[in-house]
Amino acid sequence: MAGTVAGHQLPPAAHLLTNVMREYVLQRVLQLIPTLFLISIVSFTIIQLPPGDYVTTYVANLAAAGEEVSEAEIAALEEHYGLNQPGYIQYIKWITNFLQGDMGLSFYWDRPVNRLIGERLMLTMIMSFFTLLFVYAMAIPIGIYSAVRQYSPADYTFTFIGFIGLATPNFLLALIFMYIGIAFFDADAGGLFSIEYLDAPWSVAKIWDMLKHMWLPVVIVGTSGTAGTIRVMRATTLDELGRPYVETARAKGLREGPMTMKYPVRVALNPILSTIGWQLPQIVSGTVLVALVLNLPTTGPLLWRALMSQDLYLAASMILILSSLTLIGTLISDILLAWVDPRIRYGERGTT
Amino acid sequence: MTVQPNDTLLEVKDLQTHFFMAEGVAKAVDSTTFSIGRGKVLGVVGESGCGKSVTARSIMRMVRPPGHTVDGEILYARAAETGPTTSVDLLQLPATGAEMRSIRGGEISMIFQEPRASLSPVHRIGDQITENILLHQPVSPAEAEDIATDMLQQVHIPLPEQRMGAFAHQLSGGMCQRVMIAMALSCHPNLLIADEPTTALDVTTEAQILELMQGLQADLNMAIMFITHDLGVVADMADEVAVMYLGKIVERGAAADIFRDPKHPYTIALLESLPRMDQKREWLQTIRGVVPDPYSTLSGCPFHPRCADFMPGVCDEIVPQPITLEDEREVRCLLYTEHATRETPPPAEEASHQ
Repeated sequence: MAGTVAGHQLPPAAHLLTNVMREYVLQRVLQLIPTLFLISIVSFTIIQLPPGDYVTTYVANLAAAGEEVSEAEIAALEEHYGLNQPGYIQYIKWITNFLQGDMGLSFYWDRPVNRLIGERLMLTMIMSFFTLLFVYAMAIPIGIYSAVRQYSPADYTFTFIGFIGLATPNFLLALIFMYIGIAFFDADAGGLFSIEYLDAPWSVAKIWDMLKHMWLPVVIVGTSGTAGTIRVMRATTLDELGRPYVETARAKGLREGPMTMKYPVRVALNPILSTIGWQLPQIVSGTVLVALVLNLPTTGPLLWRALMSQDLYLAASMILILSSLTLIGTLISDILLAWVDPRIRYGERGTT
Repeated sequence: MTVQPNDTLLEVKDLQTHFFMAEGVAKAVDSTTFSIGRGKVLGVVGESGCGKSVTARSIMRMVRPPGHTVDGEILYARAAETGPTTSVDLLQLPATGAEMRSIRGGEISMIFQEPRASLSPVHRIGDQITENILLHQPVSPAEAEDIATDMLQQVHIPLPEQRMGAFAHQLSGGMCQRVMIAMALSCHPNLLIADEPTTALDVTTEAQILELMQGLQADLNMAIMFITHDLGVVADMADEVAVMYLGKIVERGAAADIFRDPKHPYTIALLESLPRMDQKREWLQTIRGVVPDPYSTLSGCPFHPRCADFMPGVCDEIVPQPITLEDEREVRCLLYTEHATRETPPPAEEASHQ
């Protein structure tokens, strides 16, 4: 059967392989559905676990401010938000609407969750994309260089800078950068937009304004990631440089530079490439502190606020989105790993 | 020399490759001299750490820091396309320069001890072989692929067209070594350096690989430098044998002569430690002691602490120089010098004399 496909360009094994892969991916996607269902129950339950609900918090806040709220008003509020119904009914209502694209109402903001999350999620993703790009563009070349020129002055310098980057908390870095920006460059550090564009509709000018603001948070958030990725890239490249197949490649008479990129670096990139998916949930949640310090309109502070005020539907929706991203990220990682490293192709058997 | 000078393919003179470590300088290869005739097989034998592999990498100019080839000559008779053969000192060429790179892999190629680890885990074996061909031969990618498939056929790999698309982890160790041989021979090198190519394989596979190498060596009229720790492996194959100890060649000569009548006490001990079918022994002979620390500076002959014929006051004081005996045998041993005849009777009675 395998022998019927002629020609060297596409060995018969490749057809078999893609079928196996397709089946594997389909199977994994189908497995996602029950997992996500369970996660939605768990996240909804967790939000309801603390005593009280949004109305209790709301009333307590009003009482602290010296205002009286009558029993009838509380009952009316609970009626309004549907909080007087049993938990499972609330869940069923929420999840049914969620599947139709309606994530419910945020009590705190008094706006639909969809509208609240929508723009912030997009901004967060744009920022995270640039951060990821920044991290890889900096860390991969430096890591390779550090490994190839191990113990050189440049290697020591990058290692030193890297450890400082790793050891400095991001929010501190944000404060320092803000201070430098305001004190020396007269920059309006903080936020993603200039005041005149804040509520303006999207336009080329607004995008340009955003990009001008974005580099600072990208550098701040990316610093620790860069430092960590340099260490990983350096270690894996060093590991691969000593392997026998590198010596084989060298014995062919290849130039040292292209040989290094084609063989050891190609293999050393596997763990980096295959963990891209794991960055997905971090993209949404990982920058809460920096976003708070820099006043960024991203999802991190929104989730934080929602959890603080027991804003049921907003918190549950965001946690469900985060969990979905985690699962999808892991799936992407697994598929990428199988794609870049033939040793890990699933379901494949040796031929001898 | 057992070969005529004009038949010499590679001549290594006083090669010195040292490793500059924090602990000191390790003289991995210390004034090693030998030559390989065109189409001949040289067996290089010695224990782990004696400098066999470093000698091979010195010839390939692939010694990595902290190792450096500090002195010597490696004269390689390079056949020009037209005109006479010219002698090139490989140590005078820049290690990563164009000329050395065209020799490395094209005219002198190498196979290694761990066949599976020596192939890239993420590239198809066909791509790895064609890469070598495209690097050294003026052919199109399609032609290179045909040559590669043909080479896989020559090393007796079943279904070569399909194996071109396989990865190293899908093949057995023996198959991987066949692939390595196919890759190394794809450009018809003048010299194949085989660094313990069968050590990691089981004995049945080892025998098959050795048989394959012998067959190809005869077909392609290529010289082989066969590095091994096992004298038994080179017994059938080698024309000449060089025995190395601590970076120096202690005995060199025609393979048949060395097996029939070993001269150096180390060679004698190595041969005695081989298991033999025709002798009934209670215990397998071993060589007492271990290879000394590479940083130590032993006075006199480096083998004297382990030698069965140790002459006190001679072997631990005088550094033996290579001496040529009958049959163009070269031995680095004081037993065959005037020091031995003056102070002790012939080696056989040496023990009773003390």
